[in-house]
Amino acid sequence: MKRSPVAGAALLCLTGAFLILWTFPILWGLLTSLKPEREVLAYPPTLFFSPILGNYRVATCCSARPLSFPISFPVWSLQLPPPS
Amino acid sequence: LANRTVAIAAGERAFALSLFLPAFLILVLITTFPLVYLVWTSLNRIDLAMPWNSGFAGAENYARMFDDPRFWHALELTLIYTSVTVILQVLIGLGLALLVSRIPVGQGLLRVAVIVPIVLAPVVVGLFWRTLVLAPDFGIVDFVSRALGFGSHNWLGDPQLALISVIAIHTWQWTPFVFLVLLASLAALPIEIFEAARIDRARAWQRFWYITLPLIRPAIVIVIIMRMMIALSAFAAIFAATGGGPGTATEILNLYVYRTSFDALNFGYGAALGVVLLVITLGVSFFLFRMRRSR
Repeated sequence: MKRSPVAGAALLCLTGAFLILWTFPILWGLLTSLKPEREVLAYPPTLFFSPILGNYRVATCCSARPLSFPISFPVWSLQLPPPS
Repeated sequence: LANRTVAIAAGERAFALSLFLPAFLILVLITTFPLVYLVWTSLNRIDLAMPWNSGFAGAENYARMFDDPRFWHALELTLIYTSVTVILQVLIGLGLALLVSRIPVGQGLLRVAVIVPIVLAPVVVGLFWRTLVLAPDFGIVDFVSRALGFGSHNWLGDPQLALISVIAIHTWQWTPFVFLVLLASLAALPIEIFEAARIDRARAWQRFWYITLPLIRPAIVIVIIMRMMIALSAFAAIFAATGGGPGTATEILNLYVYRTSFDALNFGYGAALGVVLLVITLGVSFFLFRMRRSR
């Protein structure tokens, strides 16, 4: 049975809206990771700002716990299921 | 020749045993031994706050639960938490799977977008929601609530809101699992039955109720069993978000086990609580599996 274009578009919009709502916390986390600290704590929350990569630099190479990343990979690989 | 065959068979048996034994011993060491040790600990009085009382206690730790209001409160919260999260996950997951299964293109992208919460560690999810999403000062939920005129709330500080919040966190993280399983199940349904139903002028609701739902019922039951087992043993996200608080507002049985064992340092009673939680989880799973087989 063929669906009308309006019904199809409505279906797509509904699904899209739901998925955006579902993934919003992740997107918000991603956005926050690109903000300087002043913007992170700003109220009301800001959507437009000058993005920085400093947080990633601190997390990867200048972390207070430099071993967390190297340790994570062996742990992660041990948890992988065997190839079927 | 017969002797030689017997010798080869014995050799093969020995070889098979040598392959099997290491895995078996490791399994016993990491699963059976801790379980037996947990049960043994639960039969002893081991309270580091009162070490002079240590010794064999028999069923004393179990008897103590009957007069422990905090245990009954934790049990009640566990039942509320488990039932509400599982019902929400199945309803939302099924609804979303039905919607997405009708979309002809872009299903792969939708699947990837939805799977992201599952791949996050529960402790990260708990911290993430506590700091970025539900924080009263700069959390996005609080901002939306103020913008809509509902005012600012202490989402994890108010006892009722805290319980609702941890239920929302768990539902948010694990609904995609239900969605993916049910979407795969829907994709495997034979199209001929639906075409026949349409020719018979069955309405959409009738097609869903009398065809789709019975056909995907095994998948729904399996999903419910798995989700119940995980919800009953939920810990990390709640621990990271509220730590079981405020007070005991989000202290489900697992959190109570942790707090008794590692905050109050009463290992004996904590172990007994752990055994009870294990028995409840096994009982519920056994009951659901029996129900699944009997139909």
